[in-house]
Amino acid sequence: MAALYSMPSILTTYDQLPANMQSFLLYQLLRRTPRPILQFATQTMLPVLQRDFVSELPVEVSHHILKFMDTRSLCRASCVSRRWQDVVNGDAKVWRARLSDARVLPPAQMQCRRADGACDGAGGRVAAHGPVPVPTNAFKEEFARDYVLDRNWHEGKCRHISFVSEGGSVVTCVQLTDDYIIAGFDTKNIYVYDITTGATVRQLVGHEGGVWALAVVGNTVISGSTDRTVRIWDLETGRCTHVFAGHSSTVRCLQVLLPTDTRTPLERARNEPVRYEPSEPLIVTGSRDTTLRVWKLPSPTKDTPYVPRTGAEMPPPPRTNPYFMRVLEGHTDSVRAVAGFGNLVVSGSYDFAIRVWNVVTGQCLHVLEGHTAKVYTLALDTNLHLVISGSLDGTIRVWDWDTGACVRILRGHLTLVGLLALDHNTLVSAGADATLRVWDHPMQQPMPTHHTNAITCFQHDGTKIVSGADGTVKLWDVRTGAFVRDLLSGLSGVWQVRFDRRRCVAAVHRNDVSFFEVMDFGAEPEC
Amino acid sequence: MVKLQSSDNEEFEVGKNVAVQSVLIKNLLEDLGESEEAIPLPNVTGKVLKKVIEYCEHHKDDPPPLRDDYDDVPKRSDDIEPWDEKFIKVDQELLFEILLASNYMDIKPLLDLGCKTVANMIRGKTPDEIRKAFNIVDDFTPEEKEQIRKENEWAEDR
Repeated sequence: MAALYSMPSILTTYDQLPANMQSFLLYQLLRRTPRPILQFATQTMLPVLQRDFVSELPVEVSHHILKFMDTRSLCRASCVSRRWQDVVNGDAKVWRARLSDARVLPPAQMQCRRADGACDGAGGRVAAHGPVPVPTNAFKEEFARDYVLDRNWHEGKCRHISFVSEGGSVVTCVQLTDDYIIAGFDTKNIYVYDITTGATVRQLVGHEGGVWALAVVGNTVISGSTDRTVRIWDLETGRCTHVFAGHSSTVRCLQVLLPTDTRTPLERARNEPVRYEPSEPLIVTGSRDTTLRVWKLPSPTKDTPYVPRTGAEMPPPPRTNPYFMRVLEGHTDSVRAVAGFGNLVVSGSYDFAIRVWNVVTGQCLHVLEGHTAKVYTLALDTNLHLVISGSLDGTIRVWDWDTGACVRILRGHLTLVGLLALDHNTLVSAGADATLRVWDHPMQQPMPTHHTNAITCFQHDGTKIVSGADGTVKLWDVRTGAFVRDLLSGLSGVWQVRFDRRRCVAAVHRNDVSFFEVMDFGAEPEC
Repeated sequence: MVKLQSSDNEEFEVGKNVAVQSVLIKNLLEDLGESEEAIPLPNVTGKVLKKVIEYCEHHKDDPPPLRDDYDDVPKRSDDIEPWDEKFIKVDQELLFEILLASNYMDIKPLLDLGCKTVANMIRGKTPDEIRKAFNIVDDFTPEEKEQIRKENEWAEDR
């Protein structure tokens, strides 16, 4: 009882003590306190010391905290309170940064991709499925779409359709648009399928031999064939509007050159005037006849059709063709690969050499010699002005296209390097030695190699690789180099694979029949 | 040596290589030149400044942080060094003060460390657990809560 009466004086004494004495007194009291009461003390004290960091810190510091959080935590954080929701979703920057990182684009480039609308249209329509997030933040919405899409790719969640290839059994080339699959065959066929239903929409009839080169620009289809002609088609009607004769053997490869700003990043940074090359859209075709030919790219709808009456047996003299520009001569064997950028065209040949041309003057600027066997494939680094070539000699060579010098030889493949693709500074190569190799920028060491069966085709977009080998279509993570999953298996062959953000199309061979497999990772899978 | 003065008039004398990890102080020294006068830091208490100096002492030989062009992009938070981890194991109040001080004094690595620590406190928690961890009142109406849960459902495992 006496103790109770003395309490006010204890408190008064405590209040009057200087801070360090208060600490000392408390320490002495706590030392004497049994555990249950200590627990009580903790429960009382902790909430007082708790701080609502995200709400109370200056907003730039709160945003900095968010940068260190994974996506799921960030979403959960936005559900905590109104203030947290506002900090997480109220500023475009938080999600914009995440979006550009996920797409492996530095923020500036991201802007430009979005601005010119070049960003794949296919990804944009995914929102129609599943729970639609309310657009509190357009970037978050877009990020959410990508996130779900990527997860579906990784987990193999897709709507999968499969249809028998009507056009033939050997599929030589496949191109995708938002709505269609365009496939060329070793017969004279080009087929257009509806990418959603698999229905045959059109047949492009006219070639008299196998189709080995195919490109699509908007509604224009360009094809090259063993019948030695190049044909231009209107995708919407299926009509062949232009036939270009001139090559005296199979047209094996083609490259469309669209007017492009050809300044280097450095020139752009210096604000040098924009330089569009070439001045009009062109096609460059490479042939077994050892030449390349340069043509103006006609529009199937706007330009006058040009379909000479003469058959393939009697090609008309090239000079009567208003679309023919020039022939590039110099190779001594088949031209197997062609690539281009602006006015520059690079060709790889079975004569072991690579030639660099100016399409406007027709001049051969450099002959890149060094490969000791046929050149099969080419890639260009347009920022660093590099040509990258893959050859039957098992090496990949990197050349400076301004000087013509070989600046690096990438060794590792045991035999033919038949496929190369450079995207977002990552070079991926695949070869007959059954390996797929991911090279950090061409000047650096390769990441570990991955074995599948002999690789017949692949595509990569800087984040994922889809590769087709004998029996499977595999998905790889470019950034970690890790195998993710088999998208398809149990096949007897894979002709071609193509993918966009949302869909993967594979032309495959199974039980002696060719099929197209379409996996739509943006659609809700059928249960 | 450089003298620093806290808001509660505590004075600290530290080596220049310690002090200049604060970009604020570095710029002050460059602009005003070195002097005998203590640099006043009116937003930082002595207790917090002592802690900040402890950090800068330990990291005085670190290479200067790189200018980060991609400062906005998400970063990992699981790369905290053992010494830093021990250093930052403080109550929320002090952590809060350290964050404010490192932001004000512009010490990027310490700000990063604090922010990572808070991010790690949030990581893996449900909204309810987050509220509990930071003593936050849920001020959503039930309808709003359902709405926002739906909006963020995509990020949850399915």
